This record gives sequence, C-alpha cells and structure tokens, in this order.
Amino acid sequence: MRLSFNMKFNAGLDGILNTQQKMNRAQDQLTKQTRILTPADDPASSAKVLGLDQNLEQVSQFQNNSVLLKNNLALEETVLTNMRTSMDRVKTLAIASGNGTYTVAERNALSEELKNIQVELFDLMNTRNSEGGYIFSGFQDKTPAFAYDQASNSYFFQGDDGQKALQISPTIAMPGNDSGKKVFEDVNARFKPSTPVVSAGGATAATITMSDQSQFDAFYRNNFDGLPAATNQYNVVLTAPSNYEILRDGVALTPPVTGTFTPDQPISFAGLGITISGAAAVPGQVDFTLQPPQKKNMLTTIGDFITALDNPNISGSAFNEAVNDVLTQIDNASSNIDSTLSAIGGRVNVLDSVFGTNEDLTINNKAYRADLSEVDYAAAITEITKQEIALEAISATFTKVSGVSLFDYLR
Amino acid sequence: MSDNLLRIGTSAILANTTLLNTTSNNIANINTEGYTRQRTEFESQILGLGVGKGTTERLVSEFTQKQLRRDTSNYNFAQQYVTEANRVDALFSNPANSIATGINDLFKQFQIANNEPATVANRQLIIGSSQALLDKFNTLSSLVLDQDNFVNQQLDIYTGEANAYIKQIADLNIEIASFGTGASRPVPLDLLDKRDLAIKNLSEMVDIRTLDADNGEKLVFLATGQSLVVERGDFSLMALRGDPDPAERELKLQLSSRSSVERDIDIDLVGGKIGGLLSFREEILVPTQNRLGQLALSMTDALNTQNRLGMDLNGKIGGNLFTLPVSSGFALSDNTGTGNVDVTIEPGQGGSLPPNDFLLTVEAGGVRIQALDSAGKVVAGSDKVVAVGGYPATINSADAGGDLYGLEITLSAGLAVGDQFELKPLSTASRTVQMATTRPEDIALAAPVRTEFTVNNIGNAQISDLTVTDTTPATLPAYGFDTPSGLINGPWTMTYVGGNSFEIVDNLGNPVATSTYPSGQYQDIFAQAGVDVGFDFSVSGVPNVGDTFTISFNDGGFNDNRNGLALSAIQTEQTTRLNPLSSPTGTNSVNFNQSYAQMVSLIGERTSQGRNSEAATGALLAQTTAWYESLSGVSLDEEASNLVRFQQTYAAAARIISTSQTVFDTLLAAAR
Repeated sequence: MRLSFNMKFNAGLDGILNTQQKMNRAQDQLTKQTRILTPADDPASSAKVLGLDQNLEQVSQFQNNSVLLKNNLALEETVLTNMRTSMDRVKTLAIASGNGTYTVAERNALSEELKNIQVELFDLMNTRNSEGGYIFSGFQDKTPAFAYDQASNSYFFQGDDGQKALQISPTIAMPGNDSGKKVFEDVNARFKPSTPVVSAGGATAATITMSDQSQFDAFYRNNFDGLPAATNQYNVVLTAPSNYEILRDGVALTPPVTGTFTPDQPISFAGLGITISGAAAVPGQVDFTLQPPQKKNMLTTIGDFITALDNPNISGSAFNEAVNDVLTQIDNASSNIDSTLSAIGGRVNVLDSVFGTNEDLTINNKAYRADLSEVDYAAAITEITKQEIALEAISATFTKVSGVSLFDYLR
Repeated sequence: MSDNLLRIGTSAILANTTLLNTTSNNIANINTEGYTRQRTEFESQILGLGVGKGTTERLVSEFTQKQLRRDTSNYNFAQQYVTEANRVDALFSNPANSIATGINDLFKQFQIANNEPATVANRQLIIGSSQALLDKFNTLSSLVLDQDNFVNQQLDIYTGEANAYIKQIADLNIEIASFGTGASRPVPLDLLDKRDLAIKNLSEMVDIRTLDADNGEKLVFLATGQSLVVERGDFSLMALRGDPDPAERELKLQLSSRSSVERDIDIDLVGGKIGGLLSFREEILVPTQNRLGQLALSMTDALNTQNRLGMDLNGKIGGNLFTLPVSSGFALSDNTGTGNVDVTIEPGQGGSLPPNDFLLTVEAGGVRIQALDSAGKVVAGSDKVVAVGGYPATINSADAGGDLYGLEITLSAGLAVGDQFELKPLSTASRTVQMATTRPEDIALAAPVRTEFTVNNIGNAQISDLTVTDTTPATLPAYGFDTPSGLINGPWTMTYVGGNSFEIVDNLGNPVATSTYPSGQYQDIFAQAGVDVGFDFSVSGVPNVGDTFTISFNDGGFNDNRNGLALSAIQTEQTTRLNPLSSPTGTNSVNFNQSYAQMVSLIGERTSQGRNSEAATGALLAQTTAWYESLSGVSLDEEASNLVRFQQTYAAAARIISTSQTVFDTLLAAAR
C-alpha cells in the first residue's frame, strides 16, 4: 500500500497520544486508589458498590445502636439486680418480724431499716440514664416513673407502657427499656376473699383464714369473673341437721361442694378455712365474695407493712395478715423482676449474636467492595511501566520513520 | 527532419514542464486541507510527432470517498456522544455529588435521632442532612440542566455550520456546472477539491448520501433520504424552539427559497455530531434528569407521608417535611382551547410515579393520560382514561382506579376537546423540592397513639402491632384523629367482654367499635369491627373477661420512636417505580439506593457503549482514511523521485532541441 506523507505522521502521533492516555489512566487509578474512575469503566460494579456502601453505612449505624442498646440493658440489669438484693432483705425482715417475742422497740428498728430500703428502692425505680431520662417511665422519660401520693400513702406509676426499640439489623428492632408498669406495678396484691357476712341464721361469728395461699390463687384465677360482679359471691348454706353446701351466687358448684358442719371447725374450701361459730348457726347462710384483683407495687407494700410495724396497738391476727401480705407481694414482685431479668438476658444474647453477624457482614462486604472497586497496585504499576516502555519505543521509531526523506539524499 | 526534431523536442519540453508543475503543485499543497494528489497524463501524437496535449486529473475514488464520509459521520456521532456522556459520567463518579451518600447520611441521622427521640440536637441533624441532600439533588440537576443548555447551544452552532457547508456545496455546484461537461473547458480541479472538502465537513455534522447529476453537480441527501442540496438550490437545517417544551430544541428542514415550508426530521437517523448530540439528549440527559426528579419526588413524598402519620415534638400530628413542586403542563401549539393544566404529586402516591413524562389529551367526557418515553413517544399500553364531568376539575388516583402514576392534575376551565399537554413533573423536580420546615420539632418521631393495659387486669393480654394509616383525613370522621392533635372523644376504653369479643367506647360511653373474632387470634381490632379510625392494633396474650385497655392520644410520649423507626425503614422500602406498564409493587419497584444505582449504571453503561463505538468507528475511519490516503494522499518520497525523473526527461527533451540544432548546423556546414 502506498503510504502518504500525512499517514506517516498521523500514525506516529496517534500511537504517542494513545499510549499517553493509557499511562495517564493507570496513574489516575493509583492516585484515586480506585479501579473504577467513572461509572462507565464498569457500570455493573459501580452499581454494586453503591449498594454495598449503603449496607456498610447501615450496618455501622446498627452497630452503634447495638452498643447503645447494650448499655441501656446493662444499666437496667444492674438496677434490677440491686433491687432483688434489697427485696430479699425485706423478706428476711418480714419473716423475722413474725417472731411474736419482738418488742415494740425491736419492731421500730425493723421499721427504720425498711424505711431506708424503701427509699433506696424508690430511688432505683426512678433511675435515670446518661441522657437524664427515667428508664422505667416508658415513653414519658421526662417524668419520674414513680411518685408518692400523700393522701393514700401509696406510690403510683406515672409513665406509660412504651418500649423504645432500636434498630439493630434491617429486620430486628429490639426494645431497650421496660416500662415500670410491667416490671413493678403489674404485681398482684395477695388474693383475699372479703370478710364473711352472716346473711341468715344465728351464727355469732364467721371468719375466713388462708390455709393454702397457692391453692386459693389457682381457684381465684380460674373463677374470678369481672362481668357480672354477682357471680363472684359465694354462699355457705347450712342445713339441718349439720350439713353445709357451698353455692356460687345461689347455684350449686360442679361438682357440688358439701359436707358435715361442726361449729368452730373450719370448713376447708379452695385453700380457705371458713370457720362459723354459734350453735344456732344451722340453718343459716354465710356469704363472702372474691374481691376484684388489685395490684400493689413493692413500695406501697413495704409502706403498708411499715404502717403495721409502727402501730403499737395492732392485733396479732391483723399483724399476721400484714406479714402474709408483704411476704406474698414481695414474692410476686420478685418473680416479676426475675422474669424481666431473664428477658433482658435473652435480649442481650440476641444482641450479641446479631452484633457478631453484623461484624462478619461488614468484613464480607468490605472484601467484596475491595474486589470490585479497589485498584490492584501491582497491575496498575505494571501498566505504567509497560506504557512507559511503549512510549519510549514509539518516540524512538517515530523520529526514525519520519526522519527519512528522499529529499535528504538529493544533492 | 530537424523540423520534426524541434517540434518533438518542444512538445517534450512543454510536457515535462507540465509534469514538473504537477509534481511541484503536489509538494506545495501537501499541507492543504482537502487537496487530492494530481497526476498529468499524456498521449503520444499521431505520426510520431512528439507528445500530445496532457490532462491533469485528481486521483480520487468516488467509492472510497463515500466510504470515508460515512465513516466520518459515524465517528463524529460516537465522538460527540462520548464527549457529552463523559461529562455526565464524571459528574456521577464524584463522591461529593453522590445522592447515595446523601441518602445514607440522612437515614443515619434518623437512626441516631431514634436513639434519643426527645433530643432536639439530633433532630436538627436530620434537618441539616435533608437540606444537604436537597442541595445535592439541586447541584446534580443543575449540572445536568447546564448540559441540556449546552446541547441546545451546540445544536445551534452545529446547524449553523452545517448550513454554511450546504450553502457552500450548492454555490460550488453552480460554479462547477457553469464550466459544462465539455473537454475544451475543463473544470478547475481545486473547485472539485473544495466541494469534496465541504461535503466531508458536512458529513461530520450529519450523515449524508450523495448522487452525481449529469451536469457535474453533486446532490446531497440526509441519511433519511431528505434533500439538503438539490439541483440549483439548497435546503437549510433549523434548530427550532421545541413544541411544546421550548427548552427541548427540535431539528427541522426548511427550503431556502421558501422559508414557510418546514419539514420534520427523524432525529434517530441524523447521525454525525448533530445526531450524537440528539442521541445523547435522548438516551442519557432526559432519562437522568427524569430519574433524578423521580427519586427526589418519591423520596420526599414517602418521608412526608410517614411524617404525617406521627406525632411531633410539639405533641401535634406531624405535617409535611418537604414542599413538592407544582409544574405547569406544556400546551401544544395547535391547541384550540384556552385552558391550562397543572400537575403535582398526589400526597402518599410518590411510589406510583414512573420515570416518565406524560401526554394529556382532552377527550369528550374526560382526559387521557399516556406515559412518554425519553424520545417523547407514547408508551403503548400506558393509557389511563379518566372521566371528567366538567372543568375546572382536579383528578388523582381515586379517579383512575387507584393508579394515576402518582399524579394530581388540576384542569382549568376553557379546555377544548383535542387539546394536548405535555406534563413534565420530573424534569425540574429535583431543583424545586424544598424544605417545608426547618424546625427540628416538626419531625414526627413518635406514634400518635398510646395504648395501655389497665394494671388491674387479670389476664395477660397486651395491645401490640400498632399501625397508623391516616392521621389527616380529608373530612373529619366520627371517630379518629382530631386536628391538630388528640383523638375525637378520647381517650377510648376497650373492654374484653368475653366470647372473643372486644368493645370500644369513647370517654362519654358511646360505642366506637365492637370487634368479634371467631378464633382466638385478635388481629386488627378496628378492621375486624369494620370501622376505620386511621389506626389499628392487635391484642396478644389471653384477656380475661372484664379486662380493660386505654387508647389515647400519645400526649407527652416524646421518648417514643415508633414513627421514627417507620421513617428510617423507608430507606430500604421499595418506593420507586420502574416502568409505567405494571403496577408499582413487587418486581416493578426498587428502593432509593437501587434506583440511584440503576441511574448511575445506566449512565455508565451508555457511556461505556459510546466509548466502545467511538473506538470501533475510530478504527474503521483510520482504515478508510489509510485507504483514501493511499490513493489520494501525497507522498513526498514519490514526488522526490518524480522530480528527479522529470528533471532527467526534461534534460533529455532539451537535448532533442540541441540535437536538432546540431543536425541543422551540420546540414548547413555540409551545404557550405
């Protein structure tokens, strides 16, 4: 083929420009430390890198959330564990106070200690986190969880049910607090029947004592019916010569509860001992009702007990009731706290496992991202060297090829 | 004899002089653009009377030239496309401009705020990040707009250049034709060179075809077959203001002698630099601008919608965080009516918005809305016909069976049947979305409803899974959210009355809803009762007869982040619609990041295709150029050797004359 003058120059020039371009590109890759200089270099990878960037960013935020969440849960756990210790002490003191030989002074000493414990528990229930929010107040974290009501001498909850959840993975939002209502307030007061009333017959007195609290609790839970209230009335009907039957709102129970009645001997029913006095009690009827359920937080429970301890004129049976109340209710409150503690433990376990998964995910994603977009130093430096040699070669040949002209030889 | 010698010698001297002239001319014009190598050829004279009259001609192959023009067009098309595409590509490769970074940052701030919802400082960061994201949208969109303006300017310049070449070709045609086709008055070769150069220059602008006329004129056509240069005349290319969108220039053809005649050009087949610009606009610029707009609108609408479902730090039901723009439809110039059309995004429907422009046609009894592709052609099967009773009217998804592409269209009075409007809600959206509020308190991180079990309940049932669907109904319902805060006649009390049945009453004791379940799964209490109060919840656990629950407005619940969690979940929700044909669910929707990634990879892919075709057409052009040069290009070495050769033949011719002189002298001396 005929090679024209223009072609000779253009070919050399194009070669030099092309090589310079390639060299420049390899250098850009090195200085910007990325293989993909613009999306056009690798459209599919650059889209993937954007997705991975989002994942990395999200996961790093999830990890931050996890750390915060773990702190919150740890704080709550510490508070609850401390409370458990104090509550055990309350129980010990209550049992000790049952000792009939205690003098008034000794009871006062117990009462003083209980008052201190009450203050401590009150303080713990109004624990605040590092941001100053009350951790047991639900969503109302600017309001103390519990406050004291002078009129009723009780402590009441003033937060709400809220549980603030934090996102720790795309699908898991884990609660970082528990409402004081669930943990402290939702504690059953001891279930008790009402004071019995002699509605017919000549009974002189009727009392009900608790012989088996847990049996009664089971009965109560199964049979208490809020609607209508009348179904909660029970009748002990005494008939000649000396029989009794227990009815529910005038209707026989299934199976019927009957037996032989002896005055002053307790009739045993659902963990209760019903004692009716008076020889003329038969025929007659004694009524009692299942009281609507009541909740009492531990502060009020302790407060009630302190009142009983401080009352020098309290009767033995009333004091016994008070001791029974405090023991049952502290037990109930403790089991509530225990179940909350185990729930926290469960959450921390999940949190740890999600945290680990997220760490692994981050490492994987970073590795993938690096594979997709990071510059291979060896390859880029090799490319520069290669193009440098090519450029030298082209420059050298260019001067040779273009330098030869027939005119140089015409003399 | 010597007489003949002298005659032969003289003709040889003249011929060699011509040859030397031609060679020198070749050397002299070696750097002249458009110059083709010339060669002079001679015939011998009859009866051995020396060399005859020579003809100088250009060494050019018409076929190669046509090939060269075609390859020049293709290369310039690809080159123009890549030059423009590279700029957009570079814009999107710059991390500082990345929308994805902005989106990630915004949602990170939401997460941080969710950790401490009542802290104003964290909320302020959301406002800051939102503004930064809008700024990024604005920056990118403005840069893309600059490109659009640049394309329009370039189009003006290139059509101007093309018109100059067309005129030049037509003028040269006339000049060349005036020489006629006779051998006596040959056409000056440089005129032909000039014309070929003009045609080649024109082929850089547009893809052309040529045809030789009998009188020596060259007729030039566009690749579509439309004439640019006809016999004794020419046409002009025109870059006109677009109809209906003045910012989108169109290409037309106009007869230079009758300027009232305008013809449309199929812009897909224009080729050359002008075609490259138009293709770039259609394949990269318009889709990018639209997708940016779509992303901005669907995202801000999704955030607005969720924010309205929450409670802000003032204890009020949340409002909009962003103000979405209203854009006017572009009326087509041949509309007969006087009405106009405004379009905005229907609140809560941003996810139905595809990345398209729309054509609205007024028909008898209603309007027809069709999606347009990036070339402005109707997407088949995308028709939505909405019945309209009378104008003015406002139509939205409720009038179109639930899907009007997320648009809310306001039709004014004065529309005539047959009027058409182009709706471009996306093209400027990413520059015109604004913050509706800069007060950090207005971010609604809390849910507006508080549900509580009564502490004295015997059962362990709890209210769970609160979902809020509508806090700001168009008309205040009997029961639901009040404006600006509170529940109507709240708080409400829900009681389990036994028999798998719940009763809800307001604070005056009036019944709100009764919900009975055949099974023991208490899902969606209000839905089961057939009552819509704008929110719903389920009951988990086992309720005891008489257990009660309180449902109230979330007064003071500032540590609540339930709506904040819903806001941050938007990041990965599928909220941008891919195409207008299928409904915006499942496979036809992607999340923000995917949407942006698709946009970036689309730009990257098209740029990369452009680069490949630039390399391919460049290689072809180089090959054709080499082919063309091998025939028509000047080689100095060849001319050098010719120079020496003709010098020698000239010397030989001179020797003939001196020989004839000697012969004549010899004869004279012999006769003396």
